Amino acid sequence: MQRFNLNFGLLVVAALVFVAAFAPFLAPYSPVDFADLRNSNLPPGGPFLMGTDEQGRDIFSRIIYGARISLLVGVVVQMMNTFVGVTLGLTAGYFGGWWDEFVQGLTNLMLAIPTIVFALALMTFLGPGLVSLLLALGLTDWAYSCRISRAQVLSQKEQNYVQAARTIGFGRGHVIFREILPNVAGPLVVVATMGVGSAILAEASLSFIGLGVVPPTPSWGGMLARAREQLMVAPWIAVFPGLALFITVLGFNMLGDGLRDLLDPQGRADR
Amino acid sequence: MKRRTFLKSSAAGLALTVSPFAGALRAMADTPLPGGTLHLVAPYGTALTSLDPHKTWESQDLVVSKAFHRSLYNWDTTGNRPVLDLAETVEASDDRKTFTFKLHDNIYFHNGRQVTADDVIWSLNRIADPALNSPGVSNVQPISGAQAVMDGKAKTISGLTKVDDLTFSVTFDNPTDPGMLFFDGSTSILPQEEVAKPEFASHPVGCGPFAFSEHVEGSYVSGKKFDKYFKPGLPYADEVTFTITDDYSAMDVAFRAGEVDATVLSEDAYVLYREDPELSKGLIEVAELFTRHMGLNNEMPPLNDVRVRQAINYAIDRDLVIEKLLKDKAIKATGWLPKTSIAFDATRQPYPYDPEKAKALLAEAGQAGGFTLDIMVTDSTSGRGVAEAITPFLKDVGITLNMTIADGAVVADAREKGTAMAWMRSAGTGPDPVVALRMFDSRMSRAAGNVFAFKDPAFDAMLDQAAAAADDAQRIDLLKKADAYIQDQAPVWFHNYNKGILAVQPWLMGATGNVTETAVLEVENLWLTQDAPGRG
Amino acid sequence: MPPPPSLRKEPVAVSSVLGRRLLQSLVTLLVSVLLVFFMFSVIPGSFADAIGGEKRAVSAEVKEKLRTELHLDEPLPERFVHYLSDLSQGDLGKSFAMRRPVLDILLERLVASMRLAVAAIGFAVVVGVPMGFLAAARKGTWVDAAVMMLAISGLSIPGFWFGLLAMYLFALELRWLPTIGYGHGDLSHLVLPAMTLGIAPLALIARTTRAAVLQVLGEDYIRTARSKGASERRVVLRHMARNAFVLILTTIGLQFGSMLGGSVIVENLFSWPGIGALLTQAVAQRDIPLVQGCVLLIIVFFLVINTLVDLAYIAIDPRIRYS
Repeated sequence: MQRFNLNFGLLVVAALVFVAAFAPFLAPYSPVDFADLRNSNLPPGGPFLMGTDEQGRDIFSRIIYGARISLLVGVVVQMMNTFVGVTLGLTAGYFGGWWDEFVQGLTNLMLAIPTIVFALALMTFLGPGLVSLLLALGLTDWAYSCRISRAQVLSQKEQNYVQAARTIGFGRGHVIFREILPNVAGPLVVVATMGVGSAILAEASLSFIGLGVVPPTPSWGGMLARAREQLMVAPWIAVFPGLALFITVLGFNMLGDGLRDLLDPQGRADR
Repeated sequence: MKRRTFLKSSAAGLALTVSPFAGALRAMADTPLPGGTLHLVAPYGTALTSLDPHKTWESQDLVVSKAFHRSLYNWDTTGNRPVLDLAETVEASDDRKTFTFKLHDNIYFHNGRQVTADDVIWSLNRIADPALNSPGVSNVQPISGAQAVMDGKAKTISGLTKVDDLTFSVTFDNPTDPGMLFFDGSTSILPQEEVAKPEFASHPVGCGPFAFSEHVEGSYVSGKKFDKYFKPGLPYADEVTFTITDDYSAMDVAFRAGEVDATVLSEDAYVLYREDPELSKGLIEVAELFTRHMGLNNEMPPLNDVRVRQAINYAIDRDLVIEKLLKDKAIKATGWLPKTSIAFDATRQPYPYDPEKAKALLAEAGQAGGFTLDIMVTDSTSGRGVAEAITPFLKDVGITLNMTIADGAVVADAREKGTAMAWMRSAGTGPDPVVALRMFDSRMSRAAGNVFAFKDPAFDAMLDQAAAAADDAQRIDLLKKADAYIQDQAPVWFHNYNKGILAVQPWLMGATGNVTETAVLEVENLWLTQDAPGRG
Repeated sequence: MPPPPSLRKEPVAVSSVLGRRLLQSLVTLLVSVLLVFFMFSVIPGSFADAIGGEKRAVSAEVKEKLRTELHLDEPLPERFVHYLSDLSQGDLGKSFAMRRPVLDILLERLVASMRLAVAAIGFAVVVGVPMGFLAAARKGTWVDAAVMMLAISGLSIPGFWFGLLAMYLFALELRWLPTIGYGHGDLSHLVLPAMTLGIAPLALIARTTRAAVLQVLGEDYIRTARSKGASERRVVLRHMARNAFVLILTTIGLQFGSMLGGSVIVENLFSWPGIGALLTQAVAQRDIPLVQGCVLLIIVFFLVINTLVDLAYIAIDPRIRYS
């Protein structure tokens, strides 16, 4: 089972990376410029493997290019969240005191305001667009990595290797990031992997209510939002991006599960 | 007499208004059967804004108002003009500035009290009250002395005079057609003593065919037949329920499941209903009084050059956009005034699709190298969808469309501040053609409606001349010329006139197309056949 | 993804937990009020621009008067101070659009939201907990694998996509259930939105249940209990059940607490007249007092449920206080 999770996850993620990297070679048409209204809403088959959308664009090509947006959003957002969360969590746990209180308060704030509400506010504030999207999602979902890294520091702080490093005279930064971080990296990798999946889902949700990547840039969530009205006329518009999204998120989650069994057998990162 | 002739002549242009589909025909075939519950839809929003008709801006609320409230006039959906409703008769003075109305003598509010001239005068005064900020204020503004009330300089409108309990007169500053002003739901006649109660906002009382019974916020609003309604035998149904929703796909699904008796349709649902042998029988097509266009900031170079604006109009194959993207749920625009406007010119030709001509015009204007057109749109088919669809056409002639997606409020803000270069919009262009064309009057500020900053004294003069015309035929003629002039000057990209689609179940009778807003049904005329689910 | 069950095993007493919680909650509330007020006040476009929508034109005079009436032309800090002083007296202000007190509107909508949230969490618990137990009991078999596969799929499927597919299958094709809306409060309208909203919590609860049961089964004292007499075994078994229960309860509580916020998309999809749908409408209309009210309610709900979970946690497992 564990092996299956890991392998399936790795396969999906590798496929995603491959598709995103070689999109121009894999996609039969341009995802944006190839738009001819005469071809609008054609069912799958013939020259269009997954059919066309209302603007007469090739859905297959748009899904391939959409992988780039999903991967970019997922990875960048999760990197931002991990960076913010880990930095705050490690320092809070290490230094304690008022800084710890402050970080914990901030964490509670982030937990209390649901990500979607926070992102809704930020996206309305910043206006739609990729950069706004990255900020809105990348600065709002770090509470979990923060808590984990803080808890890990608390338990590692008194351990021998940390004490030893301190005694030798290494600076705080060195102790935190060179000594402690590698020892708590296992659970964090698991959390981050699953976080990529949720970031991709969050992007799709925001695009679904019209606050995502600016069209005509292809994004799976955006494609789904437009397909909603057309589910009866042209169901293929909704089915394929939905499937792509589902399989991708599933892949990241299963990879996370597999990694946890591998790196974190005690289940510290259990969700 | 003259008025009658022009209405007749304009009827030719209205051929499309209500297509003689089975729904309309069936309605005439049988005698109305009273009873049952109507299941209707209040579309366009997730919640009603207000149940007080003087306090709302939304079409959604108007749909519901039709059941509970009445005004002096009503929109006649077969004749496409306002007709007397609460008023039994009206007499106009020779200068068409003073009108004397007499109310029916059997109108009652839902609380049992009779409706009198005092109620009309009180209601119109309330709309002008600056403290209320009523959106209906533009409908009472033309009455003499209304401006003073709006400015807080007077308590009551001097142009409103009570003659006796059922008779009153209204005096305007200029010759006016009161029907165009007083048919709107925002000029409903309300009972003062009920409005004064704090619960009025959640428990409205009017003199309409149904008395309010229940409202579950964001879910539904319902009413029961009002037994003392002033029209004998009406309404036919015993109860009415409006489902409140903003989701077209949900309305489509609910209609197919038989949960609602009638609904408006989106482009995509329209395609399917048209092709379905059963569903297609219940479609009513309505040429609404709205003009969809791409608004252009006429002050912003290079759009200040008429040739550039004309080039945009030549560059786009609208037939293709309308057929493929809008699924023929639109009528190609040939000017600003829509097909059901009384001043619509059926003989005028639209801008043809002619990219070569567009390129030539751009070259003449010194824009042979092309330019970037920044456009702000909302995330909808009529906004983002159309912008995406015209991008390749504009690109062919060298214009790069740069799209920004924003909320309606953001687009409106940029449009009125003059910071937006272009935008997509559906503008209300009826029922009064003079009002519709004033949007290009150079004396109007952006906030007052001339968001295009189109400035042309020649056009202003044409419009003034039309407004002051002594008889209707002459006025219509002048308005047609003014509209043709606007078409030529191309302050906007003329896209289409909206075609509203009403889907009606086989068991619902008496539904007609309302060109002022398709979703607004004349609830009192609707009735259910024997096998309707609403009788179960 | 939802936050994890917090298993803080620090020595704390009930009163100090409550005190700390309340203080934290108050600070959280204040900061979020400030944040939301600021963000929605400086965004481009105001209520006066948003009214009327695409179809009905609103005269410039009405708009101008509205700006004055709603104090939209006053400086931002002044408006915020007004808002705060009203708030401290329990006054959430009046909705710009509906012209009624925000509190009244919220209370009307809360009924619908709570029905949906309770139904969704009920569905998640009733299906999720037995699924987790089943998987744990059959650990390593195909049953376990299938349950875990379903659970991880439930976590990965986009809610709105699931809802759309369910709507078309159950409402349109099979015609078992109504499609959208609240109906007249009948249960049939509740089924699809509750399922859609409950699918992710269900998956999470199933996973947590399985993990909790396995963890408890693996602990030493259980093995000890097995080797001892029947009466003592019962004591330990009860303890084990309690332990697993705490973990599951925490997950359920946290899921329930974030449900109001999580319902934004589901409520929009199903035209459900709750707080989530109200929030998006208020945002689009720039109805700032109403946006504030919705966000406040969502946060307060989360904080209240979390505090309750903390308290229940201590009540069930007294060890936490002195371990």
